[in-house]
Amino acid sequence: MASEASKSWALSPDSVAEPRGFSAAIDGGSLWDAVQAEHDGWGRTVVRVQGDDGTTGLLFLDAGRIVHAQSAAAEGEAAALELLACDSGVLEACDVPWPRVRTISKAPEMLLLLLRAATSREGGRVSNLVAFPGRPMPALDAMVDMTAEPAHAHPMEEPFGLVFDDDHDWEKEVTKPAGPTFETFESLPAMKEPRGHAARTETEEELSLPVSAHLAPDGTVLEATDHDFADAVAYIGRLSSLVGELLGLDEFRALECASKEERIFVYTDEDGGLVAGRLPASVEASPFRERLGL
Amino acid sequence: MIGGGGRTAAPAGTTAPGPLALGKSLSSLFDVSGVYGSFLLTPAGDLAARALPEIVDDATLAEVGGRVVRLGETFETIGIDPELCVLRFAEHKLYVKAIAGGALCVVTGIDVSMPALRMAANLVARKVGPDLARLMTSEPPDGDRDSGASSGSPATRMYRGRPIG
Repeated sequence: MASEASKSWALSPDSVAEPRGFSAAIDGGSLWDAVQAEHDGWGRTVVRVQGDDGTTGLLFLDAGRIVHAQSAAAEGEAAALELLACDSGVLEACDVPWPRVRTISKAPEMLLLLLRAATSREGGRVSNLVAFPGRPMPALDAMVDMTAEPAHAHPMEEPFGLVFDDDHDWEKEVTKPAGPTFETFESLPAMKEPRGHAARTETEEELSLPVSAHLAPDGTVLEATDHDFADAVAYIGRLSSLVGELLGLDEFRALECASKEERIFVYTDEDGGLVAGRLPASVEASPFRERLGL
Repeated sequence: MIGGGGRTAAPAGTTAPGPLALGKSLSSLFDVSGVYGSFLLTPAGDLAARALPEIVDDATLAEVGGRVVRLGETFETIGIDPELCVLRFAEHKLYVKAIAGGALCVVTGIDVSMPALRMAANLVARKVGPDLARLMTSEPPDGDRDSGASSGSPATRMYRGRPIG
């Protein structure tokens, strides 16, 4: 990371006149601090990041959480981590089409944990911090110019240097990595309590469990690789709670269901929603069990 | 503490064990520290035997049984043939193991030794599974429907997990 003195996030000249423009000037802080300082935590905002190191990209925020990110070289969590790793540059709010699929479910604090772990492991280099299972990221020097006009750019997307690839299966790629890895996160430092959240911190398996379905407390499907699976998860959560209530076992937290071929983990997230993931039976599941208290 | 289940005893002339015998088999699970009780369910979710404090009556366990069965059916709809399901609650766990002729459910604390519980449950399943299967295939005689060992007062006497009388 750069020295504290060199860390600064400045107001974009282009955004001065915009009512939604940021005026971020953080000394000794981080990009996320700057975004938090300007984002009111409610509603949707898109922030364009132009790092002094040449990194460019977009962060899509919804209710204070990063729900999608896109950089020149990556998208989803990979892009978010790449952008969050920037030490200095310019932020600006912008209007670009909202993504069709939410690609990031982790809390910002968890992304920062990932970032911290990766930078610590790499001695400050962050080029491979987004090497998620099954989702290798191109090297930074292989980044392409985002402003280059794509073959089928929408006229409204071109001015923002953003083109959404509608044919690209984000959901499949982002929510179903090949398998869990824990070694990266074994010695993560303690994080401060997430802003606006309960004391529960997100656990390591939330980093690595391939999420097949994520439901809000009201049953809204936030993300799902298969809507039938999401429906089943909703019913499984309800039945589990009922079983617990009948037996006097309060507060359903998690379950594991194992068959010969695979395992399903379902757990309640910090918001009271349900998260479910599937693992092949061949994958070592002890870390998941341990973290979920199973 | 350890009582018979809602299912009636097997008819005369068969070798199927009664719920008392099944309940005795369940009692071995108490050897594992952290086990609070257990019960056996038929494939239909009816209570076959129990080894659980009386505070949880048979009618409640019958309701639990129905939901456990539906839980299993839900997993089947998404391509999972469940062999084992562990539900974690704030301070307890419910361990549900599919066995021949039904399901073995064990209520534990969160600090229970899962390897020890798995081993004990496997042994119990091996013992009660065939008995439970035989019990399910044997027809209860009319005069024997309410003669099985009950876990509580007549108000909680059960047949196939349903309150009778």
